[in-house]
Amino acid sequence: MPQFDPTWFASQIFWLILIFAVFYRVLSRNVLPKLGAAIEGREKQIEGDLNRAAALKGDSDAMIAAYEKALAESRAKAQAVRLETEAALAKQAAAKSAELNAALSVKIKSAETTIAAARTTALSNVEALAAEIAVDVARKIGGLAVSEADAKAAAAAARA
Amino acid sequence: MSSPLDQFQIKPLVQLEVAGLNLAYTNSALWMTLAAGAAALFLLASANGARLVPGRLQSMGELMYEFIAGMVRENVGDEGKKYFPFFFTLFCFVLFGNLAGMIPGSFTFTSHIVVTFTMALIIFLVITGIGFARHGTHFFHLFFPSGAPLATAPILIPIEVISYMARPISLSVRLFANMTVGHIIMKIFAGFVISLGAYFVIPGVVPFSVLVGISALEFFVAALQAYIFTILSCIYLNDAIHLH
Repeated sequence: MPQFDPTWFASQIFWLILIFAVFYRVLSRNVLPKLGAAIEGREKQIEGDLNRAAALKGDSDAMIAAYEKALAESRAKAQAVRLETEAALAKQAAAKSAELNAALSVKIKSAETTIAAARTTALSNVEALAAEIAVDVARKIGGLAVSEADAKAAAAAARA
Repeated sequence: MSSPLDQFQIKPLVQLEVAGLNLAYTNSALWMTLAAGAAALFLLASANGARLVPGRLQSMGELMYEFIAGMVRENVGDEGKKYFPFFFTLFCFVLFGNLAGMIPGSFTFTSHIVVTFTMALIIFLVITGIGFARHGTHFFHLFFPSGAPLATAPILIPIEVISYMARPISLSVRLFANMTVGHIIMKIFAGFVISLGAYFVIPGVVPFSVLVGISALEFFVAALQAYIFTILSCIYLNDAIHLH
């Protein structure tokens, strides 16, 4: 086999070492640092982007929380205002109705007194009228002379 | 008909003799230059103007970078980082050497035991040196696993020493033998295509289809052997750095 011919051993070893050394120098100086930097730069960029995205997400989460908090607060505030207004209105209505009731009861009372007075007057008029009629009836039909006072007493007794 | 071994014949292209040594620039050196040059051009093109979003060429370079970086990281750990450029160079050199050998009419310098043994021996010596530099005489613990009964030492130590010394031989012979045998088989089947095809076309088709399959296999072997050569070197370095 030509592989075991020692004629070219020295030449093979010499050129192998020389070419390998040059190849190593080119790769380690001009290729690998650039490729490594490119890969590392990309990893850094991706990492930075992810971090920024996470920070932005945190910000937006905080904003959402703040928004929700504000919403809940204003909701509570609206509720309080509503309750307050309701209470005020109820109070106002109660006061008005009390006022109205008082005015009405005064009016009712005065009306009742008027009615009672009118009734008394009417009743006494009826009594007098009855006595008068009784006197007239007794004189015209019976020919009796009945005093007005007796007739009145009798009428009062009949009414009682 | 030419012998299937003719493809391994070294032919001097430029005569060169230094201090009585024959250092002629041969077809082997030429293909070494071409393989390393092609690899260097490809990698330079992929690394130059490297951008955040890589193009096709840059992606290929980065793929190789991450492949070897991962291999070194997994097999040697963080201490292996400073040896990464060497392993990357080694992988590219062997890979492009093997692949250049697949070009018809080319020369496969990795099919020469002198070349593979020189690489393996240098790797072996440097790694052994790193081991001694890091651990001093403690490095000899590599030959006797801690925890083994002392009585086993007379058997274990020679076995470990021999297996350690055999590393450069197994490393170089594996690559050399794979490349040599693969190329011999391809040449033989190519010869069958010619000799059988000369009688009639149909019989020639059979060895030709086998040759197609073997060529595909040889491309696979070319990449696989470059990978094995590099990963074994990584494992040897790991042994020297971390002992057992």
